[in-house]
Amino acid sequence: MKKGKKIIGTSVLKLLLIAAGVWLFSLPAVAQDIDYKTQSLFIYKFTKYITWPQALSRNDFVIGVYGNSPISEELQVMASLKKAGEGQRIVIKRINSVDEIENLHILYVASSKSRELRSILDKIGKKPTLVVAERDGLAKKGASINFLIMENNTLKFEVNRSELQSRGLSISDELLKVGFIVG
Amino acid sequence: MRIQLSRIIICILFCLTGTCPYLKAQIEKPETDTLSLSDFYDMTLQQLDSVKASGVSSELEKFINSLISVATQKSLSTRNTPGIITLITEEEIKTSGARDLIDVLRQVPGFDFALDGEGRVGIGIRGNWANEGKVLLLIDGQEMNEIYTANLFFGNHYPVEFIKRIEIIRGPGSAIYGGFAEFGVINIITKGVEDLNGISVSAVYGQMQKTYGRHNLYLYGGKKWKNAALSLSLFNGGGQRSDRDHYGFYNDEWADSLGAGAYASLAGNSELNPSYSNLLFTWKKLSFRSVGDFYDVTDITLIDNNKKRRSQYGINNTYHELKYDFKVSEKLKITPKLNFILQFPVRNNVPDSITRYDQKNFISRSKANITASYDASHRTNFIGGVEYFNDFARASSNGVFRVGDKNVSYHNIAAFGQGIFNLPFVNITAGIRYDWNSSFGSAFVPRLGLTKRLPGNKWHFKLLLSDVFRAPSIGNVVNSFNGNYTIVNPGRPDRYILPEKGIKPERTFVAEAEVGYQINSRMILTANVFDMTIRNPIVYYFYQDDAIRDAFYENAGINVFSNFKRTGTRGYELDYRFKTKWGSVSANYSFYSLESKPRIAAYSVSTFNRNPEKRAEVNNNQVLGLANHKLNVNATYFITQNFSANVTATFYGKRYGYDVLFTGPGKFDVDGQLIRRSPVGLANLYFHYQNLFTKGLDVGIGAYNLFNSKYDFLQPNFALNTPVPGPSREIIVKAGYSFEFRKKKKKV
Repeated sequence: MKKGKKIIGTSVLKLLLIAAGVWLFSLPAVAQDIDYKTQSLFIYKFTKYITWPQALSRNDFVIGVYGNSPISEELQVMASLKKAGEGQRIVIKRINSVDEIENLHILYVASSKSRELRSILDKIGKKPTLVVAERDGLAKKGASINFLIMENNTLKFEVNRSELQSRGLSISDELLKVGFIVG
Repeated sequence: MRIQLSRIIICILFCLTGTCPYLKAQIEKPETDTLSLSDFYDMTLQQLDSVKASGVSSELEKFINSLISVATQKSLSTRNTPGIITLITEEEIKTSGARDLIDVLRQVPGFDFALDGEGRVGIGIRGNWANEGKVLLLIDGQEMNEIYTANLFFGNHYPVEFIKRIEIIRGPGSAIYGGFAEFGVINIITKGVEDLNGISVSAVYGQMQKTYGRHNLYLYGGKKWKNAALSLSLFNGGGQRSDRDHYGFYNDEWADSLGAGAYASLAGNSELNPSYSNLLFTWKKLSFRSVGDFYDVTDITLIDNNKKRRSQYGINNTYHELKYDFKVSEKLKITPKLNFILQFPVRNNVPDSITRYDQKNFISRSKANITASYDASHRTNFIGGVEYFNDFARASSNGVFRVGDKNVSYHNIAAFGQGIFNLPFVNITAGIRYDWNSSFGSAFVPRLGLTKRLPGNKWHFKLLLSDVFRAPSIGNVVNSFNGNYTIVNPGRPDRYILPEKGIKPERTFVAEAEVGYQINSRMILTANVFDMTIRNPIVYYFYQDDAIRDAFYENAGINVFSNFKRTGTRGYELDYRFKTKWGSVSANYSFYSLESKPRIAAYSVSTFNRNPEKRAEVNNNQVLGLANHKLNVNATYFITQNFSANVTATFYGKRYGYDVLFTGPGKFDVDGQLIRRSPVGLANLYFHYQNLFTKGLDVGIGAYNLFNSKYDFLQPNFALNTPVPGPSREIIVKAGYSFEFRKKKKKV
């Protein structure tokens, strides 16, 4: 009887290991992905509650995306549905290198390009481009805005207001209430 | 029959773990948006303020991102909390059909149960015996440890049916909670009016092979008004530790004529009787809570001439708390609270030879605490406070000779502070606690925790360092021993040993590291390593030497608490969780080793001999009573939305303890021997149906210890308390009904 019990115990363990193996290798390895649609909602609000210099409000509203990120698709959807500011057409532009950063209203810096922030800022200089960083903490390092995820999983953003003002951009108090000022 | 049952279980497990994801995937429907995409962009800023970063979370993500506060008093997600955490939800308890807290905590990595004195069952953590005041049990913030010895009692005791969730730190929490939280914290949060503004009643019946296992009744009522709320939980019942045979010793009255002891059944002879109440009244931010915990157990170690156990030990404890949550501003919250705990021991039919060790009539703790929490920014939080408590014990007339005075009183003042810095590259939690004790002087307890969730939320890391200080309890002091003793009345029949008191606080340093990987939206793997070093450990043990043997007899000695030099364990724990709408599977494995740590004779696996110098160590890698290896599995499958099947199982590696050895045919030819218990598994199966026929009616049926494994609780220190059998297969039936009060219709 003891032997029988041992066999049963071994069988259970083996089956559990097999089942765990089936799972590990057969299911797609997608963790809790960031919802870029939520980020696109915020970016849309940025176009409404941040004011660019008058000279830039007559042309198309150009949002550049630097780095390979799913945000591009979300922003394309947004551009097809909505207008920026007082009715400007939104254009999404894929940026492949720092040299291509030019005449943008917003530059979205994907997490993978965070290390290039210094050279991005050098390239932009004092031009009125809102630099939105995906990675937490970059507003303190010179980006205009960065996203961050709170403990309760809500999406928020940090604003470097002085950096933003130095580019001739102004942000409304209403929008500031939703975010956190860090500079 | 057993083999057939086991095949069924194996099939269910396989179904749960292997094939069902694909079957069920077809049943799950994608969530449909009722708004057009364009409408989302027209959200107001206020609406946007509460939008989640990751859209709709999976069931697993909701679970692992649950906010808990046990490790910091500030709500943080389990993955960011600076502690090695286990979270147990109401749903898990309901679907598993757990009978009591032993069933629930057995599923926690590194937690295990063993035999305390007099047949009581206590808890060990990571290979360290923790029941003597080294693990803190909180129920709704009330410290449930018995103050005198700081012990806990397990077995049909705390009411699992009322539990909303349990937040467990599998490591120290002393920087916040003080000394009892040395090895771990079990923080139980029960259901209240926010969960049910109404009434519920439930009953549990368990039937073991030879007798009932338990018959418990639970009542709850909660009513909410505009500014006030009142809730009351009541629990009463009875249970049996086991129905198997156990070797008990004849009490003094019968020993001379009948011998050392005999085997006798525990069926109907090993009672576990709880009564519990929990009252909460809140008015705006003011709250008053009163908890009553009355529990007694049969002392199964002593038998009479009919092989009956007549002695009962227990506690009559009450806990009262008055608290005010004062929100000074959006950023600052101040919480003053007053606590009063009163505890009386229960001693029924205890033989005279034992009552002389009954040392107290009652003990109380009066405590005042004020804690402030300040959110300096969205990344920084500070918590600080001061706490004072006074422990007061009144000795019984029998106990005065050991206490030395009728009243014993300690004062303790503590100041504590903690900062949480949520930096972009790492989250830092730094805490300190300073204690001044009227008997043991001052102590400084630092703590540092670093946590980090990498972008994408797949990986998280934790590094935790904690120093712990635990002042001895009054019971430790009263029974302390500094190595010197006097034999009072030498040469006379009424001679006895009077040990000299003297004991120092115990300190523990724990280093822990955890890494977690979320494989996909339904699975997460977590692994952690730990290293615990205990300095001046306070150990309960049996002391004897040549002089005592000469003055009395070969086996004479005293049971005392003393400081030993150093010990500890190191090890690792692995935890795997799969969770989705149609079910869940979790499996965890825990391992400890003390090979590289100094060992203590009282805990070491050695041959049985009352003379410590004659004991030979048999295993240098594990302690008495607690297995090195433990594996848990918990699988739930929702056959329909309301009907679930659950399998829980625990597999133990080999364990060591002591048992009787019959040395000859004579009735006193009994000695002790080291025994080795082979690896054993405990498996349970439970079906739960909620909202059967009508909303609020829940029923469940299942079998615990399905294969009737012979599992025993073994003593984790040197003594001859023979192994206490666990329950045999127990069929469990639960039924409960709850309803909410109707809301008043507003007059138009």
